[in-house]
Amino acid sequence: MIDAVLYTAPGQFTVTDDSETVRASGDLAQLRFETPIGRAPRRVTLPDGALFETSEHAALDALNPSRGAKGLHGAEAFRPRLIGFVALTLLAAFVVWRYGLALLVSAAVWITPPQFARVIDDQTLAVFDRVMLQPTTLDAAEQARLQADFVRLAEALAASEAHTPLRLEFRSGPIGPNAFAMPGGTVILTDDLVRLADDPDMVAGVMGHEIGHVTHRHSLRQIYRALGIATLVGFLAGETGPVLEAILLEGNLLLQLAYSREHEFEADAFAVEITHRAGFDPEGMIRFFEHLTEMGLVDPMPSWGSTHPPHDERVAAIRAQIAALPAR
Amino acid sequence: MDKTQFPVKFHGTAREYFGIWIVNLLLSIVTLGIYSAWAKVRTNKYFYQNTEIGGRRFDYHATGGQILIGRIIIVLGFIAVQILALVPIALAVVMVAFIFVFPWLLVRSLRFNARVTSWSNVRFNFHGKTGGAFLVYLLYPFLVIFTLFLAWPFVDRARRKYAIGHHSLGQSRFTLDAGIGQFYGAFFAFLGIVLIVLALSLASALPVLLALVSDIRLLENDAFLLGNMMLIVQAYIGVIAAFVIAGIVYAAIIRNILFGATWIEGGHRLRSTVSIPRYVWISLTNALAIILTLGLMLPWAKVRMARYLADQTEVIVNGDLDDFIGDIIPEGGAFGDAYTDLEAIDVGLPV
Repeated sequence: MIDAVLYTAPGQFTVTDDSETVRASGDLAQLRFETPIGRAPRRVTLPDGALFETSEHAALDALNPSRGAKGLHGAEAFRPRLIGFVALTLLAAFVVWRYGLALLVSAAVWITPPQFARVIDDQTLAVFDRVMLQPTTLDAAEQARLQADFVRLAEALAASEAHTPLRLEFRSGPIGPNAFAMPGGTVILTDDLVRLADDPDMVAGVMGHEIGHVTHRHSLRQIYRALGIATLVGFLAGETGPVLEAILLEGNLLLQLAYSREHEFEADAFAVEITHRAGFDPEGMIRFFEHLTEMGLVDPMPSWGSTHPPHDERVAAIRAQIAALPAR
Repeated sequence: MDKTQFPVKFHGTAREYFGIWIVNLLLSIVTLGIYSAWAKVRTNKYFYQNTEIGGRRFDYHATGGQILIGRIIIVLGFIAVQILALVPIALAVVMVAFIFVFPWLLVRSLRFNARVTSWSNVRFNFHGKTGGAFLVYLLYPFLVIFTLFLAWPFVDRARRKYAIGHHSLGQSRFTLDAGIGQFYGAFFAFLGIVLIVLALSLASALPVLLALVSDIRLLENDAFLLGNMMLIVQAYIGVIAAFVIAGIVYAAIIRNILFGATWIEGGHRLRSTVSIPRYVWISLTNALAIILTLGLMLPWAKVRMARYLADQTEVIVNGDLDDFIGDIIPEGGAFGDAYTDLEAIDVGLPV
C-alpha cells in the first residue's frame, strides 16, 4: 500500500506516488469504477489490477460516467423520500403476499398433473397404514351403501369440478371420528365417524366436505403456499439471526393455520351445495356438528391455534347458506 | 519479534444501511425476487468495504448474475428432487446421489465465497476437497449418533478444522490449533443452559406433563387439554426458548475459541473477546426491536451486531503491519473473475 495521487487529463490518467514518480498511466477508459456504496472509500481498479482507493467522492463522481449506478446510490441516500420507499415496499409486500402468492400457487396447482397428486396419495396412505391406521371393521353391506352415497355425490359434480378421480377408503385407528382428503382425490373415513352418524345425510355432509377439499385442491395449495413463503422470505430477508428465525417459523405456522381455517369454511360451503344437488339433506351437517358437541368432541385449542374454526361459527355459516338455497 | 495488535473496525452506520436495505427490498419484491441476487451483492459490499484492519478494507467481488444463476440451479435441482422422490426407486437413487452431491456443492460454495472475498485487494481462497467435506459434514455426524452425541465436540472441531484450515489469504494458509477441552466446555454450556431454561419454564407445567406421560390417553381428553391450555403453550414456548438461547451462547463461545486458535502463516493470529451476556443481550434486543417495528429496525440491528463483533476482534501481527503484508503473497493471474457461474451456488440458501 502506498500513498498516491490520481491525475486526469482529457482521455488520460496518471497515478504518481509521494516522490512524484509515475506508477501507472494510460487511457481513462481503462479505469474500472465501482458503484459507490454509502460513504465507504471509493475504489478504482487500474489496468494492471492494482486498486486506487479514495474518499474524494465529489472528484470521482465528476469522473465516473455511469449514470445508472449513481441513480441507485442517490436513491439509497438517507433523505425524507425514503419514507416513500418504505410505504412503497410495504404496499408491494402486501400485494405480493395477498395476490402474487395466490397467483403463483394457482399456476403451480394448474400445471400439476393428476397422476402426480395420486402418487402423493398412495405414498401418504401407505405411511399412515404402517404407523397409525388399521383395516376397517365395517361390514361389506355398510361399506357398499356408503360407496353408493359417495358415487351419488361425485356424480353431482359439475364438469369443471370433476378434474380429479375420486375414491373412498375406510380405516379404523386411534384418531377418533375423523375424515380427511388427500390431493389425488382419496377420501378416508374412520369407522368411528361412520358409527357416530345416525343417518346417511350426516355422513354425506362429511363426504361432501372432503370432496370440497379435493375439488378446491386445498392440500396442494397449502403445500405450494408453504414452499413459496419459505423461498420468498429466504430471498428477501436473508439471514435474520437465530431468535428471529424461530419466531418467523412459528409465525408462518400460525398464518398457515389461518389459511387452513379459510379452507374449512370453503369446504363446508361446497358440502352444502353438493349434498343439496345430489338430493341429500344439507341439514345433516348441522346435526353432525351438534352431535359432536354433545359428545364433548370439541377442539381444545383456541381458534387462532387450530386448523379448524370453532363448531358454532361453522354451523352459523352453514345455516345461513341453507336458508338461501333454492327449493328443489 | 514484537507483537502488534490491530483492532478490526466497522465503519457502517444504520442510517446508511437503511437506505441500501429498503431500496434492495423494494426492487427485490417488484422483480419477484430476481433482484435479490444483486441485493445480496450490494449488502455484502457494504459490510465488507466498511470493515477495516490497519487501514485496509475487505471487499466482495461476486456479481449479481453469478448469484442468480447459482440460485436458479439450486431451485431447479430442488424441484427435480421433489418430483423424483415420488418414484420409489428414483428416491433411493436420489438419496445415494445426495451423499456425493452435497459435499461437492459445499466445497464449491466455500471456494466461491472465499474467492470473491478480498482484504487489501488480496483474494481469499479455499483448498478443501470433496472427500474431506464428506467425512466431516456427513459421515462423522452419522457416527456420532452411536455415542449418543457425547462425541459431538470432536465432530464440531473436525468441521471447523476442515473449514478454517483449508482457507488462505493469497497464499498464506490458515490453521486451527484448538484443544478438545474448550469444545467440550462449549458443549456442556449448551446442555446446561437447555436444562436450566427448560426447568424454569416447565416447572409449573410439570404436574400436567407428568400426568400426560403416565397416561398418554389424556391427549384425547378434551376437558383435560382445555383446562391446561396455558401451561401447555408455556411449555411449548419454553422448549423453543431453551434451544434458541443455548444456541446463541454456544455460538459466542465457539467464536472466541475459533478466533483464539486460528493462526495465519508467519506467526500471526486472531483474537475474539465476545462477552456472552452482552452477545445474548444484543441478540435478544435486536429481535425484539425488529418485531416491534415490523422489520424496519432490521438494518439497525445488523449494523449494531456487526459493530459489536468488530469491536471484540483483533489481529495480533508478528512484527508490524509491513511484516504481515509482506507475508501475504497474492496468487497470480486474473484470479476470481474467470470462474464459472456454477461456483456461485450458495448452499446457505434457506429453501
